[in-house]
Amino acid sequence: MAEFNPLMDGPIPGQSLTTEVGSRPWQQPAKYSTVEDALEHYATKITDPAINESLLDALEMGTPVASIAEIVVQSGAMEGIHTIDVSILLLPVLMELIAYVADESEIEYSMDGADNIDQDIISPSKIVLAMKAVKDKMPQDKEKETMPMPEVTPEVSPQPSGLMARPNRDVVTTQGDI
Amino acid sequence: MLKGLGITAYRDIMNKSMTVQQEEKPEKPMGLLSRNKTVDKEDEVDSDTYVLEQFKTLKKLRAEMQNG
Repeated sequence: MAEFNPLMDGPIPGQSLTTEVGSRPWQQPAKYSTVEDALEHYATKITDPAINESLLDALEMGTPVASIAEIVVQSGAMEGIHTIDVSILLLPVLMELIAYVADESEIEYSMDGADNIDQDIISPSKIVLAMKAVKDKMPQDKEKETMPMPEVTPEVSPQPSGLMARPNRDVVTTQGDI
Repeated sequence: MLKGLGITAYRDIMNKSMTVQQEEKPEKPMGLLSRNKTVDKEDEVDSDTYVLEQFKTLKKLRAEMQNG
């Protein structure tokens, strides 16, 4: 039996013709037909701090800027936001924009993934992410267990009872009192 | 689909931004009696120029940020 070859794990030739023409988003007219409109669409999303958190996380984890930009424009073309031509024109500007956002957030990133990454060294950002994940998994409402403290009782020394023993100064008895 | 194309496109536009100089506009004849008055062209910016301008702007912003 033939072994599974991941290189051959692609669509069958002619598979795209098995559906009706126009049923896919990329077969419809694109939402933004110009580079200007498409760039504005992405720029608002990438520069929005409420949206770009996952993007910055991916950069921190070591994903190259080029790969992220390629995925972004590819999914845009697949969703019918713009054409593939526009996505290729957009790529360098998007890469620059992502790098700018990363610089602004003071995140170390790789443009093309060619930097040699030492697998033995764990970056502080990865440690922080792992700590955050562990912290999120921990139950929050668990009461803190306190260690029972033993009661400390002062030791009472026995009263000296011998004939030559000195009397305790705390208990002073005089004959006049008796 | 676009595997590796990002870096290629980035290098291309980087080289272009370093080499392409802005065209100097010819001075208009200013005299009142000048007959050689030119008609202004419509200020149309094609996609290539727009992309290059945006790229240069972002590059400048990044350089400013890195240099403090």
